[in-house]
Amino acid sequence: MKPDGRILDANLERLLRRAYVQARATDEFRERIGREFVAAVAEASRRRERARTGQQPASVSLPGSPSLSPPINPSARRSADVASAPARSPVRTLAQSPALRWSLVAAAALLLVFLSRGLWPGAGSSVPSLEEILASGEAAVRGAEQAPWRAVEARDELAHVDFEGEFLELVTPAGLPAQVALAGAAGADRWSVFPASHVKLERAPGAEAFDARLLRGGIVARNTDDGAATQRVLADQGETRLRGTFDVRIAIEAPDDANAWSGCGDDPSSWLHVTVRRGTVEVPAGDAAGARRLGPGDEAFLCAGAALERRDEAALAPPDRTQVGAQTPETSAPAAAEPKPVLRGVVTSNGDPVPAFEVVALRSVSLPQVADPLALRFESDAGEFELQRADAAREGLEDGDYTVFVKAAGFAVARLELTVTAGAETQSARVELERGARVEGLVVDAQSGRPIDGAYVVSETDSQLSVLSIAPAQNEAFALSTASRVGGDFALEPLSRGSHSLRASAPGYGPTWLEVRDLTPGEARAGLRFALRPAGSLAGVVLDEHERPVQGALILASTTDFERKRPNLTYANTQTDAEGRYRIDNLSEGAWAALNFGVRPGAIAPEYRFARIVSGETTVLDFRPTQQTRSLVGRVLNADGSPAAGRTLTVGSSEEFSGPGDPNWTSTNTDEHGAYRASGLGPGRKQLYISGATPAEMMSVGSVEIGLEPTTEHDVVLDGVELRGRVIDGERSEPLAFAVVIVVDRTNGDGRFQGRVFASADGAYRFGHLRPGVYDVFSYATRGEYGQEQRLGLVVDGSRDVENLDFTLFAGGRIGVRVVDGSGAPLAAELRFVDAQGARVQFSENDRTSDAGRSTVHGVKPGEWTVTAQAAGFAPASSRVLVQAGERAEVELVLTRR
Amino acid sequence: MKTDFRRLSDVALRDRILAGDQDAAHFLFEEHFDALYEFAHYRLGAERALAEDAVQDTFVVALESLASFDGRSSLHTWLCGIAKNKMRAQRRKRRPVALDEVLEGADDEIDSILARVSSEPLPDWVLERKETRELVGATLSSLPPDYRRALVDKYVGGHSVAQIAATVGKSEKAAESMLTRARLAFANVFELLARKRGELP
Repeated sequence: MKPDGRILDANLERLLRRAYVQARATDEFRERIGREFVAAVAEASRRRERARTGQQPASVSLPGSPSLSPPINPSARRSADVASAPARSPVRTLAQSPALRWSLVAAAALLLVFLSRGLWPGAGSSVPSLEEILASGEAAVRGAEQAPWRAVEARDELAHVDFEGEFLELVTPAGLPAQVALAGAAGADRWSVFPASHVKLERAPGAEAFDARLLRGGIVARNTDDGAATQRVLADQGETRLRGTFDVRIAIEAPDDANAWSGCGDDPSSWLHVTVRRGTVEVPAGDAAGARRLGPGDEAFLCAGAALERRDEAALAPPDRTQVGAQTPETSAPAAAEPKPVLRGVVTSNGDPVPAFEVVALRSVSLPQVADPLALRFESDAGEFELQRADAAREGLEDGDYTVFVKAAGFAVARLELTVTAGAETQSARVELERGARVEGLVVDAQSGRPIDGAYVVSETDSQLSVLSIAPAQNEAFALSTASRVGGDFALEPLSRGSHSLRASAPGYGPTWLEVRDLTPGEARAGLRFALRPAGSLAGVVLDEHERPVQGALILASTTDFERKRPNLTYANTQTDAEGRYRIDNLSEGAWAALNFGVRPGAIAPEYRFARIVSGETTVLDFRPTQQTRSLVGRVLNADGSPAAGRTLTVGSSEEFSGPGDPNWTSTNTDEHGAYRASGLGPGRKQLYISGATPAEMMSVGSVEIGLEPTTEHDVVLDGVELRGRVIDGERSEPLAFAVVIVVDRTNGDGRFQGRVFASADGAYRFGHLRPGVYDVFSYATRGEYGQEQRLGLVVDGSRDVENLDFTLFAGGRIGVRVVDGSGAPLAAELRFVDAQGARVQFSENDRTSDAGRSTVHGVKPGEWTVTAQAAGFAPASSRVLVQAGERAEVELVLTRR
Repeated sequence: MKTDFRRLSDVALRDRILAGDQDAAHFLFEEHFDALYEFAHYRLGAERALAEDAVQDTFVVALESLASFDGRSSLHTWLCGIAKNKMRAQRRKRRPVALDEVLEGADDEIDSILARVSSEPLPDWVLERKETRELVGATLSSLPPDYRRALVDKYVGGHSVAQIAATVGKSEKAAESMLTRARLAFANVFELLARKRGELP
């Protein structure tokens, strides 16, 4: 029935006028909650303000250790740095807002990730991205820096991840209170990572030690082989390196949970030597009030629980405590933390110092991490500059590889490479600036040949960005560019020596690129010609999960330069209006990626789509949250209401189960409260199966409809009728261990798979949770020498809690099936086996031939069988076969196309 | 000048509240309390004490974890998510109850009629049924507050589109557009719930 707007309008009016009674809270409750909520907001704000202004506890008294004084005020250090730093001033960065800048770089990074993985539409890849895995509520793990992420079910209190190689990286969804245990490599110690969102474990080639990095919060614990001692480390912000007495270094950044800290053993050998490189480390004081905060340069010992001591304060110093740096908080001079520069240089031209210049450092990041260009302006008669490592008190360079650009008026950009690492020697550089080269040419309309004035011409090679906007203003401080004049002519200088990628664009025209090779300083190269084609546009609407327009969402379109021929990615961006609409013009014909960053760029992973832009046309691309996967959550309870812990719940998206790894089926485990969470589900009706004595057993516990909501709740109660009995070896008159019992629900005549269980060593099996109905029950031996038995049409009426059914199996045979088409090519086909009594018998969850067209079923009861094969597009074919005990019967079926 | 909080995005509102803006907190409360209460009411079998517990817990948790609200969903959806978790926790202590169980069982005929609200006129007798009232309440409480308010203003309050536009500070065209979307959203949820309750295809 088609929706009718007028009918809906009339129905709504009647429904709401006559059938709507608002459920209202009492005035007293409403007033009280409102008052408390607003007051709590104010109080939370005051608490944050107190924390921000550094109103820390005056001292911390730890059990068994002297009291400690408050840390140095970081602001004092910051002032000292400014006074001692070379004269410099910041320059404007890529975009107006940091958030936008972040998103632009992230957009480029994301595209590169897609490209490197071949995740192009049509490529058919189903490798989920890190963002997709986290969005589904699961943890992501990978075994190598460049390896694809895979999901680890993290819904449990404890998830296990095997660390078998040299590298392991694990990310858990934000806010997930996962407690993740990481089992070490063979022979290595066992590690545990407590509430953490991002951890890396790495073993250097040939090294014994492991490096553990918590990149976004958490606590690392290391258990010794015998499990007797545990060291736990908690850090606050910034990076902290911790070296243990057992050749283990731990780097920690920004943990977010202080609750996991607890006291433990005081064995000095288990203490950790702490050196704070950047940021601060906060050590909660166990059951005492307050916390101890260490700043950059501070050293200390951490012992197991909350104990923290300095060498000069320790009454019970362990033998190796002499390693500790002896700086008392009161006398720690800020200057002591002054790091040496990582790069010291002199900028010259023809050997003479250049007195004013700018240095831009662009970090090479391991995508999809992000980095901003850091620009510093220097004024020095001697032409000197120095770059420093960043720390909590100082703007500077993070560890990593950089391209450093040196720029000065009238000179071409000079480039050098720099690696920044902790403890590295200061590097020296002499940068000789050159006058540069000049290129000249024309910008014209490709179709009419008419000159285009006002075109934006830019050298991507000399830009100090990894992404370059179509809008000139967004590149201004970091790109060498010019505009074509009336008549379409342009000149661009000074260009650095070597080859260049030049880009031209203009309102109404898409960007076009030219390669210029081997420029030399002082050269003027003329005759370049940019022929621009009319631009295409990208437009659409951004809607939220209620189909409401999203205003202010950042939409970005970026070119897709597959072969990475060009140094930069080109992009254009806009924001949605009040109706959620966006439009991006001036795009060139071809493939573009569109990314939706939402209203708070940087907060969430962007949603991406791919669009083919056609010259002179508008490509429509909407962002609707319809592709989100859904989760099923709830509890599994025993019939008496107690939680069913540690059970495996399998959620099937289809009636057909093709065995382990079936993409339509997913499994999850219940926790100690019986709670479960199955993620990554599409909408529709799902079949649910619960495990039995082993996880491999599965018994139907009904079905659930997954709607359009992100999360569907459904509790499972394990009641119903239990079918139990024994499987006997008829040849030897003894229990047949590990036989399989399969139950098929025939109640509605359609033969739905109800589940399977295994007989125990004494031949006993139990199949639970049956509803009143009609069932076929089959029993097979896991070894092929027994023929199957079945009981068809077993009626369960619900009058008894338990139904009994025994099986006696005798020697059986095998049937080998081969299915081919008319040309003899093998076919994957569905198989049906019907015995002499006309009963269809399933020998597995899904009887079918392999891609090689073959299948062998074991445990077939002797007698005549009819085997039927069917495949899409072919007419079914059948053949009769006589099976004898201990023998293999062969059947070949030839299917002909319909 | 007084801030028009309605014009702020959910994320901007969050930032104001995190900065300690009590007016912003008051606005959030006023904007979401009624819808949240109704949301809990229909999912907890209309038991007032349970609904009050769930709503109170929701606001406590919302304040504690407001910084983690990232704008991926609407604030309403986010709050309802918290409320659902709270209600789930409550139900753990009791017999588990799903929404379609909470809703009074109706005969298939009623649900099949209600499931066609967007395409067939509703007979009068259906409007008088308790099952219908429950479904209307459950549906409205599932919609975002601005949709809910617009529908109630229009159909219960009898407000014109111009009046609604003035209330929400939008143009008449924008208000009409919002009403259209709100009607469709209502129909979608209403029909979904009716089908679910009636176990209809």
